[in-house]
Amino acid sequence: MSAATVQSARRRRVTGMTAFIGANAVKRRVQFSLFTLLALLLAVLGTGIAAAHTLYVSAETHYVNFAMPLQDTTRDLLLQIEREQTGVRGYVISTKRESLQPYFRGRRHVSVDLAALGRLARDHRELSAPLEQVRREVVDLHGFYDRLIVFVADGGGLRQAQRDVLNGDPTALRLQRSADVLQNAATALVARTQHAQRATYRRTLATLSIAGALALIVATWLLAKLPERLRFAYASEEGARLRAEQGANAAKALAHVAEAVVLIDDDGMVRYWNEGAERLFGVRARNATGVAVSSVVRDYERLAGGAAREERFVPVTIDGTEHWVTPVIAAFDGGSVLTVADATAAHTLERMRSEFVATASHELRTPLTTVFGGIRTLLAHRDNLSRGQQQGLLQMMERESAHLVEIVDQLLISARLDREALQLHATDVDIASLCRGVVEGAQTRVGNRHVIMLQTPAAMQPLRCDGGLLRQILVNLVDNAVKYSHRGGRIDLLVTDEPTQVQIDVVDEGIGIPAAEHERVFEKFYRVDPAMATGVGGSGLGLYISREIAQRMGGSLTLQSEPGRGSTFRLQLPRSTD
Amino acid sequence: MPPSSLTRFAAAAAAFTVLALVAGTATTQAARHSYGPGPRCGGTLWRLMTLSDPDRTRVDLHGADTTIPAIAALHAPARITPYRTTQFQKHVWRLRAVVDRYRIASNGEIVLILFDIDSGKFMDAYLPAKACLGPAARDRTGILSARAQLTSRCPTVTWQWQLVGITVEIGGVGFWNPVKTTRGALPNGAELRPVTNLTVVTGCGVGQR
Repeated sequence: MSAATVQSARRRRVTGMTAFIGANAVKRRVQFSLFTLLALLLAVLGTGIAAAHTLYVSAETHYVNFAMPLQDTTRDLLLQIEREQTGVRGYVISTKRESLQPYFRGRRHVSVDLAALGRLARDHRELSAPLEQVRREVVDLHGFYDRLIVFVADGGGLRQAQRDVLNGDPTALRLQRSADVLQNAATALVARTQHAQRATYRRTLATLSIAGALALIVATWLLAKLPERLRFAYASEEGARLRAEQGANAAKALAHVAEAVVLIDDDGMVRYWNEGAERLFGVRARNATGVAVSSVVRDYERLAGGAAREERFVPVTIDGTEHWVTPVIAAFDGGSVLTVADATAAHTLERMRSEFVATASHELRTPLTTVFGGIRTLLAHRDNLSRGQQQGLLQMMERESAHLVEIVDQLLISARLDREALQLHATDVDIASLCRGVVEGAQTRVGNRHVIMLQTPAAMQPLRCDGGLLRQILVNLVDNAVKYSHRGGRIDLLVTDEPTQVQIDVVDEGIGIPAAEHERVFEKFYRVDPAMATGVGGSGLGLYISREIAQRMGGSLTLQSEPGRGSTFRLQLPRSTD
Repeated sequence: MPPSSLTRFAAAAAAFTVLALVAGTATTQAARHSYGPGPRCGGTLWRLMTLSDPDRTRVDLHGADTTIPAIAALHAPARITPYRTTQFQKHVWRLRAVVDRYRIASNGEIVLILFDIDSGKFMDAYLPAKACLGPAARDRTGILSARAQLTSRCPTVTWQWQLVGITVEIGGVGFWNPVKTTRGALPNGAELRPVTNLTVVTGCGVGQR
């Protein structure tokens, strides 16, 4: 990989990461901008409401609740004073008390007006002095009027009262001036209030303008940037979602593969542990994840070494059982993936094939060598050999050729069994006759080295089956018994006729088979003595073929044997019900 | 200074000293005999009039607001004794009124004719002379202060009735006067006597420019 390619790949990774981080940043920016816009709008709203409320309250306070009542009350005060004056003057002129009624009414109203003015001026210190002056003038005026009234009531002071009235009323004029001062003070206060209101209005307008402008700027920015940012954020999130989905799919796929898949980081810690790994290593994913791989997989170093050497089969011991596995390690930036396939079955098949090659080579070569030797002898020394010698050679070559044919037949049957191409041709078979032929053929082959005995029922119904294949089974069993029997050993072929089946036992007094091997002897290419230390040859297919054929006939082939006590192969074939 | 002038100055000084001593002695003797507390300050009821009576301590000096018409509506006791037998006599009553006229009596007390503007009723009130206040007089300070309020602001009080026309806040102890012929007297004889508080609201130079 070139440096440019590496840099490009690194750039892609960085860009992807930046996009993911950028999505969050965009989200935060958009949130911040919207929050700012919201805050500004709230500020505009709040300022508007506050300003409107302030102006309303100010107008309410200064005009409706203060200026207008103050003006009206002051005007009414002066009016009531005039009423008082009218009453007093009438009384002075008429000396009749009923003339004082306007005075009394005016005086009551004046008290009310003064109290109202006091309330209005309570919160306006600038009105306190003028109002106090008005109060003093009112008191003085009332004192003046009371003096006139008492003088008139006294009788003796009537002239003086009339003289005072005629001389004018300077106190009333002073009160008028004081009232004017109060009015002017109120007017000045209202003017100041108007000025304050205008200032409030200007400040509010300025605040609203600034906040509105800021809100406009933010809104414009959002309008210009937000769609693109959102598209970018959406694309980033979509990419992240796709990557996450791919990751999830990959994890789902890895969970269902047969191989053990282990993700290991640069620190040697397990980051992923699929179900295949659980099955193979017997450790749950939750117990393996986050743990050092060497502590979970005891033979990790051996696996790593095997993977490095690309070995097909590496032996590992898991839970005390030896497994043959095929390890593969793929390293990447940030860790590696260990894939371990359980190759125990393949390893066994491989071993069996190796053994078959060795066995078949030996089994085929031996008769071929014999035949080849016989032919060469006849060709080279035919004239020097007697007729008897030639006949002996030809008979030997015939036997070995027959053996070759037998081996080849077994191979062909095995191949047909593998292809499921073996066809049964059922006919009514005379079992006793068939067995007798097998025994005679075998006896002929072994001569006097073994005694082969046949025991059949006196009379038995024919069995409907493929006679050729049945003969193949029995030949295999008898030859097998011959191979593993001591010289002079007896071999019995016992036929039992039962209503539902026919049972044929092949009993020998041979070396016997250990119990652990009872099932394995029926495996393809399996040999009890693979090294052929006993000198017994064979293709390793005889028993395999016999059991397969028996099962295809609906029957069974079982073994009873003990080492040193011989073996009994029992063939049971059902009678057909049709 | 020439000897003749010095002689004349010495003679004049001696004559002035002698005259001053004679006048001072005469004045002291006249005061001792003319203004001493006693029946001369009001007959048998002088102790009530000067808040020197035995029941003076039963008088509520805090006062209660009232009006002249309200006082005029009271019923006078059938028999007036030197003792405080009515609630009217056991309180200081405060009211606002116009002083129609005033004068100083022969025993030195000042008589005020109060006028109620709303009802048109007159009532009398009295400011005792200092000389008539015995050492046992209650609220002596208040009585003298009320008198000083009036005399310090208003024109000099004389033996003759003077139109005044001042508005006052006045407070005084209720008193039943058996004599109802005095100018300004209420028909039931109710008076404020002695006056213990007096404030000029307007008139006599107060509030007037």
